[in-house]
Amino acid sequence: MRIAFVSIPRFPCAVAVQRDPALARRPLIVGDAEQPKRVLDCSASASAEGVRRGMTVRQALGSCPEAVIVPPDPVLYRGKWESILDALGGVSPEVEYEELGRAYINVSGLGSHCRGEEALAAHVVETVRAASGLDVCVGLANGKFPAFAAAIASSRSGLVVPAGGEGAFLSPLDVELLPVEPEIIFRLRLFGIETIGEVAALSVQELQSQFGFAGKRVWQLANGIDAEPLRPRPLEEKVEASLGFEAPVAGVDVIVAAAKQLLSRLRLSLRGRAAREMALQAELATGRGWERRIVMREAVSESERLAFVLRSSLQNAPPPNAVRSLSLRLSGLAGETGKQLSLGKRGRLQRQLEEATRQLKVRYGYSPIYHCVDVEPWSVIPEERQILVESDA
Amino acid sequence: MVGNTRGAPDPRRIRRLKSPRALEVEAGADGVPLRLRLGGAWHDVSLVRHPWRIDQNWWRGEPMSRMYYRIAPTDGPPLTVYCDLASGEWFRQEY
Repeated sequence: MRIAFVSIPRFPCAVAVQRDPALARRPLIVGDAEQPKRVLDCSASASAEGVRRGMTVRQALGSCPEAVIVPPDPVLYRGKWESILDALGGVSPEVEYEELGRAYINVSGLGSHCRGEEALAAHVVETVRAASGLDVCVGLANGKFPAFAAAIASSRSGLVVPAGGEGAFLSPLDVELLPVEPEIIFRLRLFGIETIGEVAALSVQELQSQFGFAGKRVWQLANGIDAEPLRPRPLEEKVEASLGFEAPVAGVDVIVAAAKQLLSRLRLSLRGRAAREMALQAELATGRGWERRIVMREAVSESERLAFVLRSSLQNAPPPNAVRSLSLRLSGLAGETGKQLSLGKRGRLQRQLEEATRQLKVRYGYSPIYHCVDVEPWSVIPEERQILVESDA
Repeated sequence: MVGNTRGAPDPRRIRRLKSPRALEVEAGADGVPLRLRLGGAWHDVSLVRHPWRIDQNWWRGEPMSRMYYRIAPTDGPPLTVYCDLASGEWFRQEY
């Protein structure tokens, strides 16, 4: 499978610099100002001074006293990254969201649409730049790991590894790139092995005798074989509307009134359907993002009811500052269903369980509830007796 | 553009119950486990039941040979482990 890996290195820092370009001149640390006071991300110049992700902000300042500390803004990062993923969805319908700033897309067969894979890689770079304004690295190869390595070594227009050339491409690269346990990298270095090509020159048996289970995977990765499947994010329809205020506003009543206006704008797009999830996003007067996400027990279509749910939620925890702009997104869209009342308790319980499953599915993207099915209950091999099947409700 | 409908299934949707999990075990010359690694630390173990062996699927050309042990770490609840006799690797499994 031809896979393109899209990477925006140091994503939180890149977004912070984009918002305030003056930050680019000094080492930058994105870290929690309050608990747990850890470094979430740092710029290349801070990293060169010894700052690492996960260390405490105090330790980081010890290594790099001149660094500027910026509090993280997860809502802004998520919004930016979602817009990039939506743009990538226009290139290929199969996009896997690995983490903020890193995504894989299935580009099998798309090269012919763009006059070659080099042009396709350049198109992906341009798509991300147009959606976010951020610099991006793109690698295109067979399999996830070769695509990842190509992105690391890529230029501004992306790098394409021709099919079958993965092993030769990876050969001179550092073993540090292998996506395996740090202990394995450490032991490879103890053996004097520095490049992926040196690992590829070893036999599977030699690697298995050293690393057991993981040995085979190390050998495969070093030879450019990565059969790990792409897990595309589910395609979900959502409707969204936003508005900006002339001056920042505060107070639950004002925000609910604005949200009602947004709901009335969304009525046409909903086309009579009901929404199971509602997300209200705001840009605060301080420039930071704020979000309230509400997953409802059952899909709701009436604006009044949605506004009531929103008001109840905001009264418990309103935005911490005045709001400059507001955006409302409805997702988990479904047709409204009638309810057949039952005389029996069992039917009611079943429906409640199904409803709860649907709610969890919207919240987590998959159902965390499974039911157990007997397959070979008589088998002496334990794992052959039963399977767990995701409850679809 | 049409998505690949023949892609690999999402492993979250269906999975085996009681799947074995790899485990680090030190065994004696007779193959009986002496120590195992749990939560990053090594623990001495003792047998709480006579070992039992399972040989399956030899008629399908994919033989499976396992030696099961019910053992108890010195400071933890008993657990079932097995040694894959083909590869020599150890696994922990609910039995």
